[in-house]
Amino acid sequence: MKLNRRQFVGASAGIAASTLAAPSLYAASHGGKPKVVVIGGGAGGATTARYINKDSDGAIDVTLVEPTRTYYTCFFSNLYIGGFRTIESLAHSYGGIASEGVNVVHDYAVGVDRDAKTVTLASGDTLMYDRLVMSPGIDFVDGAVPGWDVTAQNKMPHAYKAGSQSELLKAQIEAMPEGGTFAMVAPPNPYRCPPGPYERISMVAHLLKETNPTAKILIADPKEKFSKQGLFEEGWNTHYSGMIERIGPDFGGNNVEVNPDEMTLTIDGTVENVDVCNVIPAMKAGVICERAGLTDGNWAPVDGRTMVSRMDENVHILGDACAQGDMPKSGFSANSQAKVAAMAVRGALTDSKVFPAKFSNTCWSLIAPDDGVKVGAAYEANEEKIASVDSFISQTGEDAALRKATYEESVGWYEGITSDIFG
Amino acid sequence: MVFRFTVPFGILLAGSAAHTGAAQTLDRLLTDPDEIAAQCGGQASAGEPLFQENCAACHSLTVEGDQSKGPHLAGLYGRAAGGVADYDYVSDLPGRDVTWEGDTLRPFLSGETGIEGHPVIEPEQVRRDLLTYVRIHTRPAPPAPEEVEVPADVLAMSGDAEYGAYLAGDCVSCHNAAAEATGMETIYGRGVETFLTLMYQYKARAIGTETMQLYATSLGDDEMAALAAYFEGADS
Repeated sequence: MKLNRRQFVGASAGIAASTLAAPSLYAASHGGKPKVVVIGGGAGGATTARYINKDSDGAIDVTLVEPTRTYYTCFFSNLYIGGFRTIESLAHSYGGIASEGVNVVHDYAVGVDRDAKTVTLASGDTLMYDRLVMSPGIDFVDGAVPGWDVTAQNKMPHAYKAGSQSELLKAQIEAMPEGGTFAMVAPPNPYRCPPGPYERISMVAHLLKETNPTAKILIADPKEKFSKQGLFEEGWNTHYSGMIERIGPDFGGNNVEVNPDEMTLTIDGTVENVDVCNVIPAMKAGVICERAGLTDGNWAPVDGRTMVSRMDENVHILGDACAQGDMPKSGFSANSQAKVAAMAVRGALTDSKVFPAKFSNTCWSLIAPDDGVKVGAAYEANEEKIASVDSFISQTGEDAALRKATYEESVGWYEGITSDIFG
Repeated sequence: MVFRFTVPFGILLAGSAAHTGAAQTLDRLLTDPDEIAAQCGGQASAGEPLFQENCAACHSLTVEGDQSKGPHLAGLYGRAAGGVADYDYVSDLPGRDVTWEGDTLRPFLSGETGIEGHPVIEPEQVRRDLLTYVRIHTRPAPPAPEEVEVPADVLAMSGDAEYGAYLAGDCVSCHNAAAEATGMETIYGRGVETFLTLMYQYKARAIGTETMQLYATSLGDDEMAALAAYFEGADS
């Protein structure tokens, strides 16, 4: 007996009921297979495109829209700055996904007409969709750091989208005068990769310790606390004693202004002359979400059971751009959410089964050579949000062998997940 | 600073008894995180930030941690108060006739008994979340791998390979051919019994990293069986 999804849901104890509507007829509207357009070729979008294409066996027409031909992963880009990876090792092409059958379009998505169900590209072309998947990552909030906007990103790089910005930041650190100052303006919550700024500080400290040991690192931070704080502070004391100063909101770390032409950072009225200034502004969902009218505040709210937008049942939004609940904004999270979104899209457009969503995330950070730490959690979705059900975090005082094993695990994870994302 | 340690009366077991073989059946020596969470009535994920905020500055969860401010908490449940041999207790805490468990820790954290200046954790649900996290992360040493057995009814389950194919998405993010050279094992084609045994060993913390232990703990038997059925039949 062949079960359709409704019967399956009703017949299976322990499987949550699907909220998706029954499949409609696509041949009538397009004269062909159901069409999925995926905006954004990072960990969320590329994985979703691959999995829908692979698991539907050609029954769904998948188009991936991504402006860059070579994608540099943000995750592990701090390790490039620290000298542990080459920039080439972070680079991935879309040849694998394309050869599997996904139609890869290298262009910017500039608009979404949700009534007509079309996506407009910068070239002027439009793409029709039955389901749209948006995984555009982050953009920066205008005016978040007084004195800085994206036109200043060559003088004061953010390096929070990897590639040329990462190379620029590293080159600036390497060109610092002896005993110079590296400054970071850390972002407010929520933002991409919670331990990212502090792993970056660790990597910058490592690089400077090797080449410029009298240099100083200054962090202006609007947050009282940050991810893995105890672990980072322990590591900084152990490996980079006396090098790093962090100014939190108690001392004006939330009241900063920069002057990219003068290379100054003003913290609570005190002007600091700095040699490198890494400005990581407040973040928001990739701007296409806002243009599509799918944001509430800075982020795009979704139902974590299917990653479907709270504002449009034909649009799934995932990765850093969405507001889903407890998961951190990370490549691992986006990859995990992508599999739920892919399953939900296939369930909506074909007769495939839909199972209750489960998610995983682990964030590894490297503090110094072979000194890796991690935080991870398992998640389930309810109607309100994606909720953490259990978690772990590395402990202070762990022995060197465990820290080395944690780092090595992260190297394996990178190889694995980039293959899972890009084919 | 002199700590004042007050306990109204001694409770139940002397500390040493909790470490005998006979005491292994006491529910305070539970090792399964789900059972611990059920018994403590809290959520470990909610307890973790509470621990970081209120406890971590002084107490390590492991025996290797810094003890300059307070004793480590490893093996806390079932441990005698004042029972860390290499911690220099500054008051008359050592030798108190108390064994740490829910009923003795709760008044300690609520301020009814305990040490002056020690944080008070309120309300009850917050204490439960905190104790759930602490208890899971300080639970007794795991069993040897050969002691972990998959129940016969789980081995006999007929897993839903289609469900397994979905669940496998989180496995193959890391466990795929591209990562094999780094030591990440591929799991395609692995037999059902081997797969289930490994999952049970991870869940019991007998083997593996915390990443795998957490993942295995998040799986029910039906989900493990589904994954086993899928991976046995899948070749890539």
